[in-house]
Amino acid sequence: MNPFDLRGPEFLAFYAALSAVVLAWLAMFLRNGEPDGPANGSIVEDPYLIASLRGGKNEVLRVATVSLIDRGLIKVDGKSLETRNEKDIPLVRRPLEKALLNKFLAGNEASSVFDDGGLDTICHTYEDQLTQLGLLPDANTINARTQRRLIAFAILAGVAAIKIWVAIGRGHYNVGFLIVMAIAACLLANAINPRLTKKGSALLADLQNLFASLKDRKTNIKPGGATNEVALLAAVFGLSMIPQDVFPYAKTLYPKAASGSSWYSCSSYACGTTSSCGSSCGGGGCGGGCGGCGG
Amino acid sequence: MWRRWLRRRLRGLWRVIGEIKDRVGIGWRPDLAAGILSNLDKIDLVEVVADDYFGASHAKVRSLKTLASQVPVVLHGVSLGMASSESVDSRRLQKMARLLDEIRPECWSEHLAFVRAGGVEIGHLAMPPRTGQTVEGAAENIEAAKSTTGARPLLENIATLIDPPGSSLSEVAWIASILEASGCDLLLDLHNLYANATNFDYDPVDFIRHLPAERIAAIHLSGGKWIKAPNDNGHRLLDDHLHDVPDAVYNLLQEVAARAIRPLTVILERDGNYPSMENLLQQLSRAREALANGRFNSSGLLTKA
Repeated sequence: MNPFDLRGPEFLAFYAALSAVVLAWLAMFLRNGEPDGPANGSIVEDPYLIASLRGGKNEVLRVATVSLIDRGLIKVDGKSLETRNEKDIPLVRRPLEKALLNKFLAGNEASSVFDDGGLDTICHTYEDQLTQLGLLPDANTINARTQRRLIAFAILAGVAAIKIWVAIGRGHYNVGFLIVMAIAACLLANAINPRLTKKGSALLADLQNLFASLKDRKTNIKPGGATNEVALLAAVFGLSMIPQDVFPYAKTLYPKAASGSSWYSCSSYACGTTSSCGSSCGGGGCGGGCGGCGG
Repeated sequence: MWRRWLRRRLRGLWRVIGEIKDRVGIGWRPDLAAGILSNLDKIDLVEVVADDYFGASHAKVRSLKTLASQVPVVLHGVSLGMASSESVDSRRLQKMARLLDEIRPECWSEHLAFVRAGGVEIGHLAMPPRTGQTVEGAAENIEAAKSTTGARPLLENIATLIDPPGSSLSEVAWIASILEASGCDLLLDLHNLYANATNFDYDPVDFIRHLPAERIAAIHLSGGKWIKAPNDNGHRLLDDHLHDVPDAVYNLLQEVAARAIRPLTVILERDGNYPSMENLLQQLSRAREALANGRFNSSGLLTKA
C-alpha cells in the first residue's frame, strides 16, 4: 500500500506515527558514537566546573555568588549585593570570585551578573574546559549531531512535501493541518539537542550519586563557609537543594532557581525558554540543563 | 670531616625520600564524600568497601568508576572470611572478581578473619584459633581468591576481644605463617594491633619487629574506645572506628615506617561520629609526619647523630 494514496485523516495519523518514530530514533541515536566512560580530567574539586556542567553559565554565577555570600565576602541587602571588604579580593584564588567581588564593590543587583561581559568570558573558560574533557560537545560532535538531525528533517519535511505535491496534483488543497504537523515535528526534532555529551550526562549522574549523602544531610549543613559543602550541594543539585531556613538569601536573590518551581525540569534535552533552567534539577539523573534564563 | 659525613647522610636521606613514595588516604564513606572530593590535593587515594558494591546497580558501580577516574582507589573486602578452615563463599568471590574487573583498583584487601561457620553468618569479623589448620585453610582460601579474581589480596590483621581458644601459635607467628604460605602482602591495621596488644598485654613494637618487613604494604589507622570487660574484669580497648587515632598508633606507624622496605599506603578509617574534615585532614597530616619521621630514622641519620 502506498501511504501517499491515503486519504487526509488517515495520512495525518500515518504522519503522526512516522513523526513519533523519527523523533524517538533521533532521541535515542543523536549521541550515538559519542565517547562514553569516566571523565579523565579532574572535575570534582571545583564546584563551579560542576555547576557549569549541570547548568551552564548562569548556574556557575549563581553558585559562585551564593558561595561568596556564605563565606561572608559579600553582604546581602534585599536583592542587592555588596562586597564586604575590598581587601578580601586578593585573598580569593579563583578568577571568577575575584571578578564577582570587584563587580559588587559598589553594590549591585544580584541579577546584574547575568549581563556582565567580563563574567561571561570567565564562565566560558569553564565551558571550554568541559569541552576539552569531552563533556560538552565539540565541533566534531556538533557536526555529527547535525547530520543526524538533517536526516530527521529530510524524512519529516520530505514525506510531508511529497504528500502535499501529490494532493495538489489531485486537486486537493486542504493541506493546512499537514503543514502545521510538519512544522511542529521539525521544531521538536530541532529541540532534541542535549547540552551535554553522553560522557557529560553520565558524569553528572555519577556526581549526583557520589554526593547523594550530601543531599540527604543538607539540613545539617552549617552556614559560614567553614566547608564548601554549600557550594558543592548547589553545584551538583541546584540552588533548590539549599535549605531555605539556613540560607534564606538564595530564594530572595534567585527565586525561580532556588524554588525549583519550574514547570519543566531540565532534562538531557534542550531546555524550554520558559523554565528556570539549570537550577531545577532536583533529584538524580538530570542529565543536562541549560545556560539560559537569569532568574 | 663531620660535614662530609653529614652531606653523605643527607644524600642518603634524599634518596630515601625520593624513592619511597608513601601515600596517605582515607576510607571512602558517603558522608565524607564532599569533604574528600574537595580536598583531593591532600588525599593521595581512597579505600572503598567492596561489599557495598556487590550486586549494586549499574549506575552505582559507574559512579565508583568515576570516583576511580578522579583519585586512585583501592578496594577493601569485609565479608569473604579468608582465615577459616571453611571454604570462602564462591559467589562473593565472583562478585569481588566482577567488581575488580570493573574498577581495576591498584589492589584489594581482605581480613584474616572468619565470618561464618557451619553455614551460619556471624555478621562479625572473628579471629579463628591460631593453628596450623587455619593457616592451611587461609592459604587455600587465598589461592581460590587469587584464581577467581586474578590477584592476591592484601591481608589485614583483625582486632579481637577474646583470645581464641585452642590457639597454638602467637598472633604474629600465625600472620607470618599465612603470609608465607599464601605469598600475600600485609595490610597492617595498627589500631587492631594496638588494641590486641593492650587487651592481651604484649608489646606492639615487638610484634612489628617480628613481622616480615618486606611484606608490609599498607597500613590502617583508626581509633577506638574503652569498654568494660565481662565480669567486671578490668577494661578492654574496642576498635570501633568512631574515634580519632590515638598518639600510640602514630608512634607505631613511625616504627613501621622505620622498618618497612616498600612504599606504604596508609588509610585512615572512620565509620561514624564524623568530626570536621579539617580534623580528619589533620590526622592524615600526622600520619605523613609519622611516616616521614620513621623513614628519616631508617635512613640512619638520627641514629648516627
